[in-house]
Amino acid sequence: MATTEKSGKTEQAARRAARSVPTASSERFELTWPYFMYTIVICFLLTTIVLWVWSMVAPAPLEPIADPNRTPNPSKAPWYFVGLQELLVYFDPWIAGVALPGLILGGLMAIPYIDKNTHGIGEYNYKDRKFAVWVFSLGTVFWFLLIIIGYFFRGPSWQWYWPWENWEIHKESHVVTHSWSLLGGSLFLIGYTAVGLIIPVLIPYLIGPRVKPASWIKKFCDALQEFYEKRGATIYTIEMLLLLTMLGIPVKMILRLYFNVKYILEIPAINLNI
Amino acid sequence: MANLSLKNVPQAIVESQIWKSIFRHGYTMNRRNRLLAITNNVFYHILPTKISKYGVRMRFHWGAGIITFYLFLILTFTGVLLMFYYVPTVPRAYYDMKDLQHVVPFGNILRNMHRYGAHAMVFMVMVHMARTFYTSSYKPPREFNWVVGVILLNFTFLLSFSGYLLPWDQLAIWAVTVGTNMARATPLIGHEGPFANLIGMKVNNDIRFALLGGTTVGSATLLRFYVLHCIGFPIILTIFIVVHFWRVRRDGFSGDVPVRE
Repeated sequence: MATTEKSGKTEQAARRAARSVPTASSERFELTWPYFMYTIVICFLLTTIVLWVWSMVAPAPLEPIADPNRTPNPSKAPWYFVGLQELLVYFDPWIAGVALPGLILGGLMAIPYIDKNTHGIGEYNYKDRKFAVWVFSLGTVFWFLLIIIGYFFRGPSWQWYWPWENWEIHKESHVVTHSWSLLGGSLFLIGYTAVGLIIPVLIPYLIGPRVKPASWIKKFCDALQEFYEKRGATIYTIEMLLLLTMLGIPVKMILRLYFNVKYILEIPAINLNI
Repeated sequence: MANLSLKNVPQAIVESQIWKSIFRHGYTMNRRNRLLAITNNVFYHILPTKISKYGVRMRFHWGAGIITFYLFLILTFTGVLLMFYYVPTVPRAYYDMKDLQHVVPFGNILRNMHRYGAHAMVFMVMVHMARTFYTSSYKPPREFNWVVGVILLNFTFLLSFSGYLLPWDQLAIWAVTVGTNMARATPLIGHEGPFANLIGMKVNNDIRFALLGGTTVGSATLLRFYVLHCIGFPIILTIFIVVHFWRVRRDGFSGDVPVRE
């Protein structure tokens, strides 16, 4: 760990030296007029051309006039919301349509205040911020994956249709789903959150002292401990809760798809189903 | 009278009082004029006079923010033109779309550019966000500008979504029905949401009812979405764009600044 950290620091210093503190007369600068203007104008022109050609060759869709009495099957949301619509298979609307979007926006807004790592400003730096890059990339890929599934692979009654399958052939879901009991569901949710929050903190204390100093397990323990200590209790908790929510989505998807679980927690009296 | 030849005309124009009252500096390519071109222009002076060669490369910034903003300009322009031909009432909306397709000169391309531009803008906002993340541009001192950016993302969604209803075809009302049905499940303030029954939410007094102006997507919804789409959301978006650009200018481009310790 120590050696890699040192070489990482040297590399970082080298990178920094390559772009040392800019001064007004520095050769690292160029005038906005005309050089940056070229960039802006070229972006504008190319966008215009692409949009113009696109509009010329592909007419925008206009379906028959709106008819409240004729519901198309399937009715799909605009593409950027289809990912959320796809989540309706696995969650109630208050989660898929309200809670998760709210948490996504809130979580995105929270990123700068959660991520205390000061490395990499103004550069593509994976080395010094692997965790942040992985989490963000996974979230982005997952978001677009849901959109692609919802947009291209869902047919009538929101059943799975491959692009070459005929939508005229009606598919039905014969899956019998069930919900867990109140006790089981509560225990699962509390357990999931508690395990996710506490285990990464406990591992370094329980396993760390018992393994050889040079082993990869020890390195892993050190990394976990550093992860927690860098953040402190509050930020660690917020960050892990957001992360656990994000990871909870595929967990529920797996439970639904492979274990036919409808709701983990079901409280019909107040419409609270998870 | 001796110098009254065609050759002297350009110079005479450039030195005239009228010209000088409009353009305060020459166009000769010297450093002074190039700086003045930025600082003396109300539209350009939001830009710095010089910019780091490192940060200005396309492969650093992908032009994502520039393109997003330009798409917003295109959408404003084509949107205003579309407003000349479109009336947001149930009997007329759809047939105005047909007129745009078949009767209005260049109406089809106008509409296509507006629609595709909107899709492209939603996509480019996401691309811009990803770029900003991967270059750590949200880190201090730019935290708040990232938050403003997320707000802009949100309002881009809202603008695009409210515009989706306006053609008043099957695609429009059912997509908006699907989208707004989610609102009835909002905790507390949607009548099917958790805890809503505790405070007496019904189908005709919850958040979705306020959004649609009724219990189903209808003429009130069309008017609401039209007003929000053409006036409400663009004004809010513009305000946040101003803040966004201002903060970029104040805090500098992340590509300008060396990595902080």
